[in-house]
Amino acid sequence: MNNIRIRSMFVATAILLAAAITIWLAMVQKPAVPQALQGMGGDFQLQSSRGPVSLHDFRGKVTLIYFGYTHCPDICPMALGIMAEAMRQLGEPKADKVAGLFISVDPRRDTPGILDQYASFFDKRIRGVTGTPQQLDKIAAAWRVDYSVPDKPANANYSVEHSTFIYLVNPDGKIADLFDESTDPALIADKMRLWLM
Amino acid sequence: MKKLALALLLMLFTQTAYAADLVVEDAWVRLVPPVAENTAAYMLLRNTGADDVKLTGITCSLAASAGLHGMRMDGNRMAMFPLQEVIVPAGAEVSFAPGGKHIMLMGLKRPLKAGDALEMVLQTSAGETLKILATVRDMRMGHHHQGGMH
Repeated sequence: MNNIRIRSMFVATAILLAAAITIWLAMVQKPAVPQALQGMGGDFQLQSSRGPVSLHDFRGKVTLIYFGYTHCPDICPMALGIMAEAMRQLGEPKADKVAGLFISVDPRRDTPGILDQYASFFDKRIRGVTGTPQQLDKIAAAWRVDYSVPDKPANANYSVEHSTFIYLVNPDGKIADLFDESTDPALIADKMRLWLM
Repeated sequence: MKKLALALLLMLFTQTAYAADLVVEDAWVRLVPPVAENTAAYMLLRNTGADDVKLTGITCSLAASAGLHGMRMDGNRMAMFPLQEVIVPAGAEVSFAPGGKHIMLMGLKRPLKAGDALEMVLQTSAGETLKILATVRDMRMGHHHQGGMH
């Protein structure tokens, strides 16, 4: 073996090693939670038609969360459709690693029974939950949800103003990204995938 | 004399709306979960005439009430508000689309089915009406074809 051959073998090995290290790093390194989202969110317990649902029930999964109400004709069904599509795009192998939560800020009209039926229409893995106005106010403050329900009876045709974020919650229960109803579901799926590697 | 001029002027302005000049394209209704009481309809309205057309309302026999709605950001919140009128300028178009201006259908009398044709009637300021057939579309991905998406 001449010198040139040995040198080129050495270079090839070095390149292979570097590539292997890069791939390994990409696999073990989890994406970081952006600074702006740190301290936002937090655990809660709300009611579903099948009993209480807490955020910590979703540990180990990537969860998409949306705050809205079922009488919302436009934005809420759009957002839930986007969430369902992002979840679907993650595919079969990751199917049980993703979840969705639709939190109604309008408990006067949205009972847990209605909510579960409403949410599961978009994807069976999306649960519908709500709570008392006091519980919802507390969660809204922690999650920076801005909403206002008019002081009208349940049978009145009122609309609820609300912020429109779709929250990506990582397997540790931390908010890792924010989207809305106009985000491309493929982008949301990509961001979810990062936490499931 | 002044009164006559005013009357003539009024005639000129009140008789300029012709619903027949309106072309409706891609009218559809969002399929919502069976438990949902409200939904929205969308369409593109093209005014092929030489005069502006002013829309003043809409009705739908399948909904307890219907209306033209606008959308605005109120700080961080999305807020809907009723539109008293929508002007479709001469030679131009107005789009009712998801996330923007839409037709609000409140109090659905029965759950919708993908592919259903919903009849709605638009009213103009000239007292004319325009019948619209909007197809119910299932917007859940992978269901598009049932809803007649192109």
